Formats: sequence, C-alpha cells, structure tokens
Amino acid sequence: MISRAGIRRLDGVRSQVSAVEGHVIDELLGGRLSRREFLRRATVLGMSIPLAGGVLAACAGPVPGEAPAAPAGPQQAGGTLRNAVNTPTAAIDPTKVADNGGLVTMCQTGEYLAYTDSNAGLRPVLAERWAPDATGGVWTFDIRQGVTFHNGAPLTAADVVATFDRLADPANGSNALSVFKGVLSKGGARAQGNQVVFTLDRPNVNFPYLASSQNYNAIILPASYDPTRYTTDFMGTGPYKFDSYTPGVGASFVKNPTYWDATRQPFLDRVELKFYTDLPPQVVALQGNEVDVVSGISYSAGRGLFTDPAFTPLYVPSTYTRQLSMRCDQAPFTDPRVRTALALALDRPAALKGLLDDKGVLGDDSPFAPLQPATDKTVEQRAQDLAKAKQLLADAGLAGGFDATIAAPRVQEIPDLAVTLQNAAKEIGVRLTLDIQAPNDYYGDAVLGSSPWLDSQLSLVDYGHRSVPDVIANAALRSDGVWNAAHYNSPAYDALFDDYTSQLDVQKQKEAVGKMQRLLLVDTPIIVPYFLDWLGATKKGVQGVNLNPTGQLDLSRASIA
Amino acid sequence: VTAVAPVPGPARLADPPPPPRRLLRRLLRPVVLFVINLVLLSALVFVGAEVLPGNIGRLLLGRTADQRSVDVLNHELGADRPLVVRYLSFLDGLLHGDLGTSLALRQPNADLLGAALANSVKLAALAFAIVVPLALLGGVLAALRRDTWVDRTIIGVGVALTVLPEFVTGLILILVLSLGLKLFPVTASPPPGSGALTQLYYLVLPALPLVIVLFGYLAKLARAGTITALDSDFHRTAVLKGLPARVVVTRHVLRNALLPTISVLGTQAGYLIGGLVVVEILFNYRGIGSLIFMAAQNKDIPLLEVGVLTVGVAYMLLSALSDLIAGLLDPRVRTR
Repeated sequence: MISRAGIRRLDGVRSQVSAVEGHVIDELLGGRLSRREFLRRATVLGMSIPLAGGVLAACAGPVPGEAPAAPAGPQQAGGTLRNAVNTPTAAIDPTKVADNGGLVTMCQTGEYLAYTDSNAGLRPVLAERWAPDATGGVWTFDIRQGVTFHNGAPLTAADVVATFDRLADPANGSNALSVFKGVLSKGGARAQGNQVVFTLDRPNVNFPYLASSQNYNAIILPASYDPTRYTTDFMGTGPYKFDSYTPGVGASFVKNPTYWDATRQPFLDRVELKFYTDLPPQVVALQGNEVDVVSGISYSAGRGLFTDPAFTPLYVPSTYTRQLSMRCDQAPFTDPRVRTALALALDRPAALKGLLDDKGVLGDDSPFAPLQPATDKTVEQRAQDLAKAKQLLADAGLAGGFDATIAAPRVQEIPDLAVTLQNAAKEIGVRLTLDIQAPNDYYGDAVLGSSPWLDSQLSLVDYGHRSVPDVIANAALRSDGVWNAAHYNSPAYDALFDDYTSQLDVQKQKEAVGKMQRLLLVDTPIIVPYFLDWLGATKKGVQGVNLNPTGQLDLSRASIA
Repeated sequence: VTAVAPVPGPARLADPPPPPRRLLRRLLRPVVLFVINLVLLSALVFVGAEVLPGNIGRLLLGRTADQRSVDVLNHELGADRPLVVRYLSFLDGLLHGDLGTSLALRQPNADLLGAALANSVKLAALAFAIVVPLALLGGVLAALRRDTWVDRTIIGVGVALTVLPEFVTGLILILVLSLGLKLFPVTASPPPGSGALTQLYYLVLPALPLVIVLFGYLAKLARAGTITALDSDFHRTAVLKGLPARVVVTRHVLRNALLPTISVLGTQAGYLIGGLVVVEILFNYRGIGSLIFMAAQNKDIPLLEVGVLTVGVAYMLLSALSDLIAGLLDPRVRTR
C-alpha cells in the first residue's frame, strides 16, 4: 500500500519521465516487477538512479543496493595495487579486442557510456541519461559535459559518434560488429548538440546494454583515434591514465588527478598489471605475494584461494555458461524424446556442487539465466528423472541405448562436465565417447561446416556473460543463427524471439521469454546445466575491487592497506 | 712423467695438409648444409602452420566475431594471400635483413625475438652452469664407485628424476621453496631495472626443474664415458706407472670421459633455449619457447617462422660448437 505522500511523490516523478518509463512504473505498482527488476529495467530505459530510487522510496522502503559491495572499513589512500592479468593475445586495439587480458588493460583508462554492474543494472558514466522514442527504434543519449580525455581534450558528442561508427562499420573489422548486426549500422549515430541520437536498424529495447560496457569494445575514444598509436597513450577519460606498457610483460597506470567524477576519485596512486600466460601461475603469484588481485579465474585454478583465510574470495553472479548442443537434424537426436532423455539423466545440483562447489546457479536448458531481467522464473526447473528418461528412450525405440560422441574444448572444467554427462548418459544406457580437443582445433573457423563446435553430433561450448540474452538466444537457437550448433529449426521459436525483441513492454517481453523457455524444455535442443559465478580473489587488506562478469576489472574504488 | 695419450701422435702426422680447394670445400660444406637446412625448416613451418586449424583473423577476434570482421582483419594482415606468395614475401624480407612484423602483436619480430632470446639464453646458461658440473661429478663418482650403493644411488635417483615432467618438479619446487620456505620468488621475472644478482636470484628456481630433468641423462653419459676410459689401456698404463689416482682421473680419465657428454650438450643446449614452454609458462618467463607457443596458437606465421628459425640456428651453432670442443679434446675428431 502506498502512502498519500508516496502517491504525490510518484506523480512528481511521472511528470519527469517518458511514457515507456511510466509504463515500467506501472509494472512495479502492479506487482509484475520486483523492486530489483524495476531498478534494472528503469536504468536500461535511462531513468537516473536517484529518480528510480525516488519511485522505490515512494513505494515504501529504501532503494536496494545496486552499487558494488561496500568496503568493509575505511579505505586508505595511496599505494600501488598489483594485478595478475592474462597476457593480451594481440596488439590492444579497443575496436578489435576479444580477449580478457586486452579488455582488463584498456578498461583501466577507458570508459563507456554506461557501465553494466554486477546486478545487470546500468550505471550512467559518459552518458548522463538516455531515453527511447515510443517505438524503441531511436535512442537519445545525453553526453556528459565537463569530461576531458587524458590529453586535456574535451569529450564531445562527435567523439561518441566516431566511436560507434568505427564499431558498426564492416570495413573496420570491429569485434562489435556481431553485437550490432541488425541493430546499428554505420551512420546510425549522429551528434545533436550535446546529445547522440542512435537510429536503430530495428527497434531494440535493450540497446543501452549494447552501448554499455556489456559491449566491451564500446570504450569511448577520441574522434582522432589511431589504432597504431593506442598502446603508446591508452587515451581515455577514466580514473587512471597511462604510465607504461610492455607487450607480453605488463602495464602500469597512475591516478588521474583531474578525473571528472568527484564521487569516484581513485584511492590508489598506481595500478600495475602483470601479464600471465596461464591461470595457475596467477594463483601462485597471489599466494607468493607477487600480486594483490587475481580475477576471471576458474574454480579449479583458484579453489585453494577460496578457503584460505589469507585471501578474500570474490564471487560475482553471472550468466557465464556451458551449453551442450544436440544435432536435431541427425539421428537419433532428431527425436525430441531422445534429447529430453539425455537432459533428464543429468543430476544438475550434483554437477554444480562437484565441478564448481556451488559457485553458480542451475541452468534450465535454455540460454535465459535467472540474472537476466526478462527471464520467467516461474518456469519449472528441470530435475534428474532416470525412470522418465529410460521410458522416453523406450518410447523412441532405443530401450537398449545407443552410441554417440560428445565433442568438447579443453577449457576450464568443460572436460569434467563432459565426463559428468558421459556418466549420466550411462545411467540410461547411452554410451557416449568423449572427443576433447584443444580450443583452437575445436572452434576451427567458427562457421557451420568447418568447426567441430558447430558440426558435431553433441558439442559442448562456453558462452560469456550477457546481461540480456538477445545475442545467444538469437545466434545459438534461431534457425538462421550463426552459432546454431544444435541445428535447431523451430519456426515457433523464431517467431517468439522476434516477438521478444520487438516488445518495449517489459511484461510482454517476459511473456515471450517464458514461452521460449517452455518451448525449449519441450524441444530440448540444448542442455544448459548451470551458470557460473565470475571468480576472483584479493589479498587481505585490499578493498573495493569491482569484478565485472563481462570481464572488466574496475579498480576506481580499490584501495590497499 | 707423461701418460700415454689416447691417440698416438703419428696418426696425425700421417695426414697430408689438404689442398686449398679441398679445404675450401670442407669449410663451405657445413655452411651450405646449414643454409639448406634453414630453408627446408622455414618451408616446413609455413606448410605446417597452414594446416593448423582456424585463421589468424578468427583466432584474434574470437569465435563469436562476425565473419565480415574476420575477413577484413585477414585481409589487413595479408593472411588471405596464397601460401606461396606469403612464403616468398617472407623469404624476400629475410634476405633483405627484415625479420618481419608479428601479425598478432603488430611489433617487429626482431624486437620480440631479441628480448625473448636474451631471456632464454640467461635461463639456459644458468641451468647449464648448475647441471654440467653436477652431472659430471655425479657420473665420474658413480663410475669410480661402480656397482656400489653410491653408483646405484646417483644413477638411480638421477634417472628417476629424469622421467618427472618439468611442470611437476616446478610445481613441487614452488610449493616447497617459494610458498613454504619462502626462499625464492614464485616468478622468474624480476622487477624492472633489477641488477644482475637479482636477476640471477629470480632464475634459480626456474633453472632447477631443468637441472633435475637433465642431471640423470648427463650423469649416465659421464659415467659410461668414465668407465670406458677406466677400462682403457692408457688408464692401466698410467696406474702402473704409479701416478697418483687424482692425477690419473683429472688428467687422463676425465678428458676422455667428457667426450660423449660434450657431444650431446649441444643438442641439450638447443632444447634449453627453445623448448622450455612449460617452465616459461609456469614461472611466467618471457622466453623464446613461450613466444613460439603463442605464435603457433595465434597462427602468427611470421613470428612463428623467425622463432623456429632462431631455435634452429641455435641448435646448429651449438652442435657445431660442441663438435669444435670435442675436436679440441680429441684429435681423432679433428682428423675425420
């Protein structure tokens, strides 16, 4: 029940927001959105945190914490923080970066229009606010004023337009092209005073995510950006500025004394990144006091740190996942009963516990993760049911089981997951042979027809974190999807996906996703056993390290005792 | 009193001095073979890298990148040109003293290789400096105490340690000496600007797994060589002449016992320079092994080529050096 004062406050808020934002407020009031979901959705639509907080306050109660976990105690200014980072595999060029090492390095100086926090909400950074038109086809971003690049040049709307044109132009070989495909084309962004207006190829209610840190190539660069000179200055607007960079060895950054955000002035004087070729040496380096922070590590590599009182473990919920695709166009997996039987054989809680010590949440055989706002959490969770699995196989005429091969890359715990699936299949008489390959062999050209990942009868793959499911739900499951390893061809799914992406109404989005989730449980082209936490650890005395499952390492509020 | 030389002098005196043309041929022959080997090696690497899965554009941009971006990057890097064109272009650059540019790192290969090679040589030199005297001492001692517990312990333990992979011994050493006793740092890379002694200190732990791997093999060779020398006529004569045992061993036995060991040191040195991928990764050391590994992973063929060729040259030069040293120690080698 809302108080009269609350109603008055809400009326005041309504006068400041668009019709779409007003609709989200209605969804909250109608009980169809939780407070957390409201905050996520409101920030995506460009409502400021104080404004959204005002709405929640009017509905009684304080704003749920969306900021990174508050430090345990007072933070000390000064000092150097040493971070273990994967060696960047290529020359760092923000438009092309595809590896975690390159991303962590460039995000020390670079900033985005908005930052995707660990709750999948959006924090305005270089854009102060944004709003869609009534269709979601045009988005207007207000570019923050008074921000300067590290060379003193002011940030302008023209810099933002140049950045997005660079990313959306197929001639540049940008790594963001796959994200912008069908969403934003070159020329789609134009400056209008202090604003940038994005005219999309088709309406997309999740566009702010695609323009945020979620799209890790979208670091805002000067219009004069020259990729051949980037590693000589790492030009950006962020809280740290370039000090040194030695390819293959490391990089260092120093505090930016003129950082624009008075509320997020860095504590540290200096940040050092030390590059490592593999994860175990990073863990050993933390244990041996060579570094203070490790991030983006696998559970198996870091398990020694998570129980050691000398270190502070960092667990960030994410949508980082594993997916087993079953070729729907190859016998015996043409029969959905066979695919479902395999899915029912798996004991997911045991797999999550055994492989990851519960550092994650269960998957439900769809790419829609509990963390994503549009996921329908009322959809039943699939559980192990061996009797039903055997019955389904018998109904399909395969009571005696069958032989098949499961291909998988040698990446983190995936080979162990393949063994877990093999053992589960054995329970129902299915004999799986493992084909574990080096990642480069396994992904091959990453196009249908020349990639074991996309061509095998059964194939396991890893997908990185996405705050919204659009990219994977499209590419991995639509009949024309470029990563459709299951060769799933369902006009019903395709129609539901199109319906989902065209909806501005959050409730209708959720309805479409719920239908997709249920359809996928019936058809079962894929098995999604779990979504993993994004993991890291720090030395005791280190505070304010903000891991982001997209891969960024935000040290703007970090300190060391 | 002088001992009987292992090879009688008249054999050398009997060799007529080679005529100038024959001498020239003798000198040129290894050089020509050396060049042919390098060309074959470079062609082999190019063809071998071609059959590796994927392409550099896809490997650098990741499996989720749009195919158009991959095509653009491959074109930018020249990776979409025919194999023969790329190979000839590489050879042309090489003939003009240009080692090319790394496609992935966009840096001159010469710079990348120079730093990595210097690091590899430092680590190999330290490992050699530790293992060669140790293995010779162990081998000679085992031979002198043949079939006793000393012999069995040195050779038994040495051979047993040889079969332990470097990553196992490396991890154990890190756990015990670094994390446990805190005697050494866990990495091989000292802070920038460190002096020679600090660099040496950081390299001790990474060198130990290599010492462990090589000790047994080299000690066995030294033992066999020593035993052969001990069983020889010249040894017997030296003993019968009443020379002190220390003189017999140091002046006559060791010189002959070292020969087989020295002849394999060249190839082992090549391995130490170019084949230490695991140790370099474990101790986070930027050597040529990990550089080649990274180039192969990225299908960065120009960097892979010059990396492999550098290791090839190192192998050949070190083999030639070990032949030279063997020749100095044994005149029979010189006259062959």
